[in-house]
Amino acid sequence: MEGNQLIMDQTMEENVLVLNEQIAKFMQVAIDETFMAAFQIHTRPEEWSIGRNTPLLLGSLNASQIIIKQKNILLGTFIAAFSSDILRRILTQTANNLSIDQAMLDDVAAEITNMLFGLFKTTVNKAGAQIAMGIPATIHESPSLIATYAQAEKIILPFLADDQTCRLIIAQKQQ
Amino acid sequence: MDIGTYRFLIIDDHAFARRSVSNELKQCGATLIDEAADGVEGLQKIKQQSEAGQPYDIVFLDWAMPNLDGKDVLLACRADHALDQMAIIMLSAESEDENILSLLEAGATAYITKPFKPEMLAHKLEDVLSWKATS
Repeated sequence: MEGNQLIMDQTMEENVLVLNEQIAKFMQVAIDETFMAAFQIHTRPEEWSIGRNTPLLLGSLNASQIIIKQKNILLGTFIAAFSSDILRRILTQTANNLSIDQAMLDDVAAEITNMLFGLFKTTVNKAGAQIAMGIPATIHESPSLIATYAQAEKIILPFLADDQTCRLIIAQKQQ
Repeated sequence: MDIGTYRFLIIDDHAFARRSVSNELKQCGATLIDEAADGVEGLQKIKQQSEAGQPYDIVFLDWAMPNLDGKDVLLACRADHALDQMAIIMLSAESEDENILSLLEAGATAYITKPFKPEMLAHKLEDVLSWKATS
């Protein structure tokens, strides 16, 4: 299938999620649709990049990840990171009677990551990838996380949501 | 029937998601709204309310949850004759047709894909209330 060849490389012994412009476009569509449909917030993409040895730069952002699998085979990870300010705005707008602490920021970051991944998965699968849905988990930038993804091929798409910095990252499983 | 008399349960492992749905329901006039943080707690509450003679009328059920997921809760409810009339609206970021169909075939009353616009929940609720009124 032509679409499948664009995003999945099956010439190696294992399937590999190919990181390219098409994947970046799918990521952007997921960002636009999620923020507009759920929160009526406009987003603006910044320049995306692909490479190894690129830092995650999660810094003070609130991050969550979902493992990308295809038929129980690990392909990589999907990481979304958001500024606290945009999460606070979303919480105030959508669930205004919740007390906002770090646990709540992690909770909303995970839920938005879930939405982003769902839309990304749908578009990728329409192109033939057949990846599966997982459950999001909160992550914090730590030496072990940095080590895990330091050498991995990554596509990093920074974007602004209501002028707040956010990042969407897909990292391949290390070969 | 006044929506204020209907009993609602929202089962989702994310507090943010529960509160978002709860706020939308309140906007629609709902007052009897309960929440559960996972499938185990949700199923327990469903059974307790049913045994107490005050069953939930409509359950909003997230699919992807740790421990007992939404589909398992759905199947457990549909295997129990006492819960036949309880409407179950599934919520999920899964938007592929075959996955949605699998939940409807398993007995879901309706399905809402996340992310959704606030008015989508109101429309879906209206549909389900009409279905309940005629069933």
